[in-house]
Amino acid sequence: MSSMFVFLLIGAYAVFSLLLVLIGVQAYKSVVDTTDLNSQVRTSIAYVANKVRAADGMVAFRQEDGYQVLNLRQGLSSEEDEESYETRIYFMKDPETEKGGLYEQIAMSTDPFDPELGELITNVHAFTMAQKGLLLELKLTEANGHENWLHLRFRTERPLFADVY
Amino acid sequence: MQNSMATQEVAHETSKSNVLLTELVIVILFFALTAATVMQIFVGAHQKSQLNARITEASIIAQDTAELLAQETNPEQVLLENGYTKSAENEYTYKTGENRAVVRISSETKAGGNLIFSTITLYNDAADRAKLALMQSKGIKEAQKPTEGLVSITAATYVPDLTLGNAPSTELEQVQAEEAPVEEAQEGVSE
Repeated sequence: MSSMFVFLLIGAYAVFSLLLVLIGVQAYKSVVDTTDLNSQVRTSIAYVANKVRAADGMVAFRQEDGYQVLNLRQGLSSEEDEESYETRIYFMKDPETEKGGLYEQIAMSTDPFDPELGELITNVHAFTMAQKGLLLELKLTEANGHENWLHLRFRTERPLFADVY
Repeated sequence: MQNSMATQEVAHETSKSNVLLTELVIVILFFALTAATVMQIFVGAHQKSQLNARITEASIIAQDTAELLAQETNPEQVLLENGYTKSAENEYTYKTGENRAVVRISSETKAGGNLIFSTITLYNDAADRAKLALMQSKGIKEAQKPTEGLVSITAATYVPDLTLGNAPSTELEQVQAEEAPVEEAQEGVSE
């Protein structure tokens, strides 16, 4: 009888240990997932916002081959045939993994747009951009459908970049 | 004689079992204390990560509102057009999910115009509830709803008073101002 009680006690100890480990795993997983999602949202929006603010007056928003592309021209030339570098930021889904990401590409302004040549900034579920007059609207959609919006106002009233607004 | 020896053996065995049981109970007691501490840490980590996510969301909403109000001479109209409702004199509120953005507008009259300040404060109902629960669990008797927001930023817009004959605020106006006396002089010569 007492040995049965001892076995029960040891068994209870083992069960509670297992429960504690499982709860710890769930808590850690939830913390890591929340942190990961938080950094995705913060990084992507902050990165695009800072790039646009730094290139104010040299920003163009275009639709190219079904992609929404934000062109940030470097240099003073606003002529189409003048060679200057530009940074192209766009959202693309990897056809192999079906994972979406924000990509960046630095190319000559005369080079055609090729989405495959970009470098991944961060993984995001969905990222859209729209221009409304002097406001650039960024919308980040998380995997659970929650949307984060950010409007950016262009400070330069007379842009150097001809085809902006 | 044999009976007494058997009795002694049973007593010895019982004593060993008692010691074992006592040891097991002590082990389980320590395990329970450790589990309680670890559970507190897990819950704290989870709450911190949730708070960080709420702060990120709140800061994005605050930045968004500040950008909408930047360089706007009529912030009240812009706020009303973007879903804000007037909750008090010079105070506008916007609620989305558990976030509540409150914009308080004030202005200062300067020598050359007006400076309009828009203070944007973000409150989160879930974060407030968690803070209130924490305060109550610590036995703070004067616990009441937290009044400080998660994020607070101020956007300022300067509206020059052009009727006072101040210097033009844009390059175009400056060029026009410089060309105006030349045109008047040419008209005088032609007459």
